[in-house]
Amino acid sequence: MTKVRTCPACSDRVAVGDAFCEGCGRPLPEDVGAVPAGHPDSVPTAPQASMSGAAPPDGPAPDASRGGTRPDLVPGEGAPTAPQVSLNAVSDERPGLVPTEGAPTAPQVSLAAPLATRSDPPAPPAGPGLCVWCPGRVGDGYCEKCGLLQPTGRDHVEVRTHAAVGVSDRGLRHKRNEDAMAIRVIDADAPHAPGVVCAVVCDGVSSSPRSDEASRVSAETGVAVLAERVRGGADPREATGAAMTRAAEAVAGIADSAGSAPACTFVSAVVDPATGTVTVGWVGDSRAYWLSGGPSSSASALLTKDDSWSEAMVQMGTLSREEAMRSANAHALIAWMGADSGEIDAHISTVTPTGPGAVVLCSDGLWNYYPGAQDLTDAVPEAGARPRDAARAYVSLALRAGGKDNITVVVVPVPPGGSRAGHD
Amino acid sequence: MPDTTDRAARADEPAFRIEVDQNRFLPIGAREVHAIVGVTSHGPVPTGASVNAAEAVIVDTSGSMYGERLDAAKHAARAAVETLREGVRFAVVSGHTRAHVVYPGDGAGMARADDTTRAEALAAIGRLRAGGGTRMGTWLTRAAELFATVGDGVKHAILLTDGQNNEADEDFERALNRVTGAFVCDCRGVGTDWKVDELRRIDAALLGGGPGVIADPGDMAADFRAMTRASMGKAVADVALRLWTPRGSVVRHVKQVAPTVRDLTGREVERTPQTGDYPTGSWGTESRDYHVCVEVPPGDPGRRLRAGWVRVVLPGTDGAPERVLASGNILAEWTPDEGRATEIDFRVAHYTGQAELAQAVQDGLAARRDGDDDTATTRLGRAVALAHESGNEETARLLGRVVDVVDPVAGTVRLKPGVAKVDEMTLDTNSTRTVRTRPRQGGPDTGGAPVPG
Repeated sequence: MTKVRTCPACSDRVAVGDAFCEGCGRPLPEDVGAVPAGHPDSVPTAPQASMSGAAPPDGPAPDASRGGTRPDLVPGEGAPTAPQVSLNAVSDERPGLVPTEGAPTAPQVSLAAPLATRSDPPAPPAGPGLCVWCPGRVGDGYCEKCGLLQPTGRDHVEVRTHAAVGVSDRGLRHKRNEDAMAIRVIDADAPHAPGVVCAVVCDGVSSSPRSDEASRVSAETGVAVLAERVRGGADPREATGAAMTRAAEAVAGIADSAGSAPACTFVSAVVDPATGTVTVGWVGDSRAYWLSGGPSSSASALLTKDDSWSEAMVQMGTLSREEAMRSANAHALIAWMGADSGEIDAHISTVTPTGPGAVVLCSDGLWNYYPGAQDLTDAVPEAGARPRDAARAYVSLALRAGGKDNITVVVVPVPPGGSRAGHD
Repeated sequence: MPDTTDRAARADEPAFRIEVDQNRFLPIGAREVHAIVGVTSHGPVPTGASVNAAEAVIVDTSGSMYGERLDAAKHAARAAVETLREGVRFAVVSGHTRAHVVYPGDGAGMARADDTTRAEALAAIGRLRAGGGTRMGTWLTRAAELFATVGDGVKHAILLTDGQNNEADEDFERALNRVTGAFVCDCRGVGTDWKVDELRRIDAALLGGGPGVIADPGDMAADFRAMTRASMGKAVADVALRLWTPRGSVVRHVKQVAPTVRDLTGREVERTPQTGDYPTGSWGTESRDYHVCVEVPPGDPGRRLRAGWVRVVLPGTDGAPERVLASGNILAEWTPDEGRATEIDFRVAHYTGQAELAQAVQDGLAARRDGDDDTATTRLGRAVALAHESGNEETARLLGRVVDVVDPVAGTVRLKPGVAKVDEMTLDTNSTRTVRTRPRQGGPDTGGAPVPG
């Protein structure tokens, strides 16, 4: 998509999402042409089909205290995990709450503005000669605007699309970044799944060889399959299953031998703005969260359950969460993708949160410091309204907290309401 | 950790070199970045046809100069003229209530130095007579008019006076504003009836080497000869220090700290919203140090920022484009390692102390003149301690003529009674001269290059 945007001060042409005019250096108003008209993000949405009454048809109720129905999916205190909720179909509409066309609600405006940063495709927008952090050009390795030394390789990567933003950083202690991420957004005029966001975050298992390669292969394969399948009309759950299978095969394929097998975690999200559904799939301890964007939204919740020793201890009732996390084994994985992983037990879960809010995928480099969904929400309120700022803020917080591990965060904003009644 | 850049120079211009000394590590959340930027030039000695220089000798011929002082001044002016290189444009100005160009004459612009013109100038100097008042603003204005007749090049004036300026302050200020940047001027005061502050204002506006006291008129000729020789050694004029800073940052100060303290912060000429030029005047083969302080937006741990990009810029003449002759980076990198972040670079600390020393001397002497002995004792005591600590022996020696030092380490002093005026003025004028430290050599140094890993 193209959209011509000009600087109000000097009329120089500027790129969508630029904060400053390259010509005259003046700050640009954020809302000017930020979202191309006709994009699904700008279609008014209606709050509906909240997660209330969502029954987990196949998801096991993890334990009695948390089982049963949980209206609004409000996580109980100290209950950072959400049951694997799968929503079969979100078809009930509430016509009465549908705003008239062309009359977006106020929160949408503020949400929409920062959405568009760069146009598709979601390759790292900081192309050769452009700063990773700002719209400045790079000379001598430093940005001519913000002055930051440009990272090499994967030390700091930002992926910005109009519908999702990802930031991945080496952190302060590791020699390289073994996390990887990938984002695809289905074209707004695609026959199936228009505007659907597919995102994957993978964390290379540091005890395995070439784990940086494993995470990259896994993320890229996973997102490619996800996008291909949903674009072809597949159900997001089916697409997620296929993506995880193919990603696992791809990671296994790069192993020299079973004894020397690159390995990584995997977490994916398929966010469908038309139905309001969020389908997550995962293996390992990278996480997906739903972060509430306001009091009328579904409460923040962790959407995944770690395949880790500590989580297993908690689930078995052997240790409390605090005890488990203190253990040296806390982060030991009990499932991963790699040639040595055996058959993977892919977890897939679907929820239909009421927006506004954001779906956040992250590696443990972030959630180690902010484990609870509410912790993350409080740390960066209204992450969905400013996904780029939010993703950077999360990475920044993790660095300030010590940056002991690689940090990867993908923020997918979800506009107010749930499914988009009448859209499809 | 010097960050060095050399640029190949053309044969007729000096090679400049920039070295940056700093501790680039900052604690998380910190904003202030300090660095010492050392600029060194190795100029080819300008000769013959390549000379594009002009010299004005301004001699105070007010009534107070009558007698031995005027004789000494004539002797000194002659010495200056004799030192002029062949082909240099020059003029001799007699300064009193008005400014009179005694050579080559009012309205004749500047002469070109050769045997004939030198002889004529020496004769004209011999005819100087004392009488009238002291109007330095008028003298400098006339000098600027003379320099305007000779096009680009190195332009230098020597101004000699023995008295207080007798112009309304606003007139003096207006004249200084008008001539700022038009030429470089070294000022000398003879006797003790002149005001250090007045010559310091001229020196600041015209980027001189610091005003000087000539206690003994007999020393004047040697001093003039030395100043002229130094001026003849200048190869380039109007050299600017260009400072780029990141968006959202503020330049706290740009101070020359060696060989003298001179605050250039207010002299910035904005080139772009993020870039400003600071005038440094003319350069020969020499070395100067600058203390730059920039306040930057704090970055995340591990991020490295170019907090300042310093370049030496030579303006383009005759329509030619300007040339960047050297550049260096001032860096910032945030770290949770407190040990690294809190270490203060030796040269930054040294020059911070030298600048404070200059201020302490000037404050102390001002308080002493105003009869505020408590403040004078405190400030001069602080100066003694700083001079002692930094090994600034010259300032320590001059301080010893004004105060009795009880404890140089703690800075305990008593004001001396009956201090000679010349001693006080010598201390005052010398207060801005600093003791230099050399950049540290060796050691692990990454300069501006990214660190792998």
